[in-house]
Amino acid sequence: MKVRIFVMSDLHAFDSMFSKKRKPSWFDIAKTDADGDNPIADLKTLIAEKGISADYLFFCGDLADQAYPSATERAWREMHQINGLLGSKALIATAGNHDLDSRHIHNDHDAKGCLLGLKPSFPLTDEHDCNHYWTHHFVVVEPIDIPVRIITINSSAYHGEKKEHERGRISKRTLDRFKAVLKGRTRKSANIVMVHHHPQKLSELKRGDYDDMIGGYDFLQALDPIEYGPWLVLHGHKHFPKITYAQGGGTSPVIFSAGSCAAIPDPDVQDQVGVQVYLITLDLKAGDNSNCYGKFETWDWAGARGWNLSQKRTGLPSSGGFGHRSDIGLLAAGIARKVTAVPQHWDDIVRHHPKVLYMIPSDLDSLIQCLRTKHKCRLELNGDGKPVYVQL
Amino acid sequence: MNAEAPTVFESFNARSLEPEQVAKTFVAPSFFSKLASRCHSTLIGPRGSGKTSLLKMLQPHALESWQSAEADSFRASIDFTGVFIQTDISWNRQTIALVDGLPENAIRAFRTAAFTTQVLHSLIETLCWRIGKPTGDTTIKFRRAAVSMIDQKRVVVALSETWGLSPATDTFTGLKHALAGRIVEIWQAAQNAAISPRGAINFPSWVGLDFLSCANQAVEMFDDAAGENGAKWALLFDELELAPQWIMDGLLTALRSTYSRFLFKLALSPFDEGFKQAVDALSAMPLQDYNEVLLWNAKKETGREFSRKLFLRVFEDQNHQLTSFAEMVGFSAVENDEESLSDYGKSGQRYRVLKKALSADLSFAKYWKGTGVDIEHMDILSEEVRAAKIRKIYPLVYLRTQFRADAASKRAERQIRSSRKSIKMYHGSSDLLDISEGNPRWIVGIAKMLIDEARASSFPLKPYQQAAIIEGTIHRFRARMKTISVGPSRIQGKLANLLALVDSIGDFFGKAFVERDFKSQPYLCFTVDSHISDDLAKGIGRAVNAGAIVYVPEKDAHALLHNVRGKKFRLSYLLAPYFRLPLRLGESISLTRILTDGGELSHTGELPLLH
Repeated sequence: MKVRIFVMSDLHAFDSMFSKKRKPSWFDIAKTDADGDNPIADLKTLIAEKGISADYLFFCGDLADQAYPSATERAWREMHQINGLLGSKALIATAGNHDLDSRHIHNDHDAKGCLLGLKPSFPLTDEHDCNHYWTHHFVVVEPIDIPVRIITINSSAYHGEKKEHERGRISKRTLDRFKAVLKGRTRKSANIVMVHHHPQKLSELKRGDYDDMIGGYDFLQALDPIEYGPWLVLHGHKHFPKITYAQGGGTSPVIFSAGSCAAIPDPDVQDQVGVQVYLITLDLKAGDNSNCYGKFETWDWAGARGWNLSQKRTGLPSSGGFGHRSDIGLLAAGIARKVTAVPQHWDDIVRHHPKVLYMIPSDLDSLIQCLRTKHKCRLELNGDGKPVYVQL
Repeated sequence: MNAEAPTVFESFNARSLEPEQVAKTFVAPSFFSKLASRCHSTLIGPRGSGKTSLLKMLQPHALESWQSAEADSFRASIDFTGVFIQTDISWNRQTIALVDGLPENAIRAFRTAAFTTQVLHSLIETLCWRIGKPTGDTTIKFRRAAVSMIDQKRVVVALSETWGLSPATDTFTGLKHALAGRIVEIWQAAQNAAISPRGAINFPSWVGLDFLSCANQAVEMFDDAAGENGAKWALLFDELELAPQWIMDGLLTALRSTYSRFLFKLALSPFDEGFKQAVDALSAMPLQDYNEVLLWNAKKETGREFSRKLFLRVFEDQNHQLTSFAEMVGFSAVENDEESLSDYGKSGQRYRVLKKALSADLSFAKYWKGTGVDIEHMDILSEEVRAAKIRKIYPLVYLRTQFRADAASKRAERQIRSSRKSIKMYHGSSDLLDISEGNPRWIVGIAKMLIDEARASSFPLKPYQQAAIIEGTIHRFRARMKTISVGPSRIQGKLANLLALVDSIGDFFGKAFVERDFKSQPYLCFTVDSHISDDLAKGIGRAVNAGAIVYVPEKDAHALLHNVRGKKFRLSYLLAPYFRLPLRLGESISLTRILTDGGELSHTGELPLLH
């Protein structure tokens, strides 16, 4: 059984009519869809033209930049339109640091007031779920038609208090409550948990990392794969696309860091991070149910060219997988035994080692490196960095 | 100023489209079968006339994915593999400066190497496609080939050795990647050579590779591996006017080469001074070995059917299913397809127009007298007489009468050229088909603007709505023409540009048509005579490449121009509304007479302004 989820994050909508700062995002609510240079309008075109569909749409936070109310409202409407185009059963969101008016510029000491007033309700449409989210800073949803548990956590819950906006947090009380709510629940084929801030450090852009989620380590430890099934953690905030595994053993959660779907990267990193959206397909039968297995597709947005399958250099590659963790050296040796002086299509290798499709991009890179250096294999890679042919 | 001319709708350019994308909206013009035949071809047309699309459609990728009623018959008749070769920045004319500092022989050597590398890269890319599997839902296979991995390795190892390449794997993909790396290597070698002492340049061995013998080796080995002995391959060279002369010369030599497996299809703009050798060489080719495909229509009727189909195709792509072009734009005022006998009776439109002209236009009244036709009894004339004496001149009389009425107003007297009011005279299906000149880029641009206009309106669009689109299109075209130099000639002391030249010609024709004596064949063509300076002659050539001026070749004349003298031209019909001109070929006059109409051509070759 497969479950398809479409993932977007960090829209940072703004209104150029009322902002004199540097543009934070390509999504300017002062412009119409026809004005061009609009990734959200282009995304609707992509979904319609390619017939992309998903079971759920996840939005990892930061609808608007600096909680500008009309931008927040417009962005939320756009997200619901996209949800409709995808034919998704529900749009599930979480609050980002930019969604809370923590500096009280647009409100009278009610940082989350704008989010509470959104129609349809935020972050889910069910009123009871919303109330739980705003009261306990998380909500657990268990759809009846799929063996998957969905959890959305508010890591910006305390924004509005001094300095709190500088990082995310899951408090001890929230975590205890979270554990208590899960206790005794049935094991699922997969658990998807979404949070805005990154629960473990992410400092690839060489800028240091000071805004990770306080309590992130304890939170990840609480995601017990044996008791509740394998875990996929989705987060945004860093605008840095990456897929990795949480620290821990061979069943630690998959952590999917979504890039922004519209924010303009800072000039010093714009060649390393692109504007991206993702379609993740969870393959509930692929593994042994202790790891979350799946594949993903990535689209990059580039101005007039619109959305296209991504280039690896600007974030995640156009396609890839996650879930399969094995000894790279052993796998490489197994593959190398099949490699001959006559070139073979990599598809033939995959036919014998199908789990290769579920390796995260960095593991695949390590496998390629190992085949080249240790086993002296010659590999032909495509523009996305994936092998096409292999020979000795 | 640019020497080369951009066109109105630069954004609608097939250059950046994949062959499959070109195939998606391709409408085959009548001459596509000629281009697709098993012989060498030159494909000649101004910018935007669809050369790139046509060449790309000869690639197997495009032919396999092409879905239309005629696609099957083309797939059945095309038995060659097309290899599309874009003129690349690394060897085209504009990059000479980039390798400045190198001696001429080194520049030429490195650019030849770049040319060879690009031809081979395109060829190997095509081989990769041919051994691949069809993607998507298509069940059609066109020119796919089965080559075993062992054979692929054998071919690649041999080619790599000859071509001096070290691919990552012994596959066509590996070879393609290695050729892409070779381009980088060429620039590095050129940079190193630029700082070497003169006479001490060590050229890598691959610099001297000849593109045709390398390509021949590749396809011979591929055909053997695929079991396709005797197969034909077409090398499709686009934008060759941008290539250095010696590349062009090399291709002309290749046309007469002994490598019989290759066909050459060369896309060119109509004019270049360097075409002399090409014209001589092509003229000497046996007719059965070579054909010439022209992408413009000196006579408007020949391009209408293609234009009509393409307009409807663009509308269809934008979810407007129309059965005729007239549904969108109605019929034109002077060429109403539904003419009836009652039009010539006393209450008919044609009667009223002619009657008005007879009373207001003395020279027309004089002409009419000479025809011997009694205006009060036109409806009893035979069909033949009516066609010869009235129908032929009616559109002229209609336009002239309207424009003369405009000119009678004080405000309009100051205007030489058209206002929106007079542009409104040009509307409806036949006018828009003629104005768009069969130029795909113009048609796509105009069609999209018509659709935008139709979103907030109903069909058919009103003449004023069409006039706004035509006016905007002309305005953009004229703005581009202004940026194109016609050399050091001067018009009233100012540097001449293409726009000034075209305005001089257009104003002459407009004035002659509207203000001077009525002629059943008004001056609408010109011949470039011997009094015209070299600079200006080149300017005319550039205008032809830009599509502003259209070459009207004599019967059996070669369409490639290296010298415009003695040749006949007309203005693009796109400009006709601006200058108040009828959409027809008309009579020819010498360019010197046009340019001296308002003064004398000075002995220095400077051009006087007419107005």
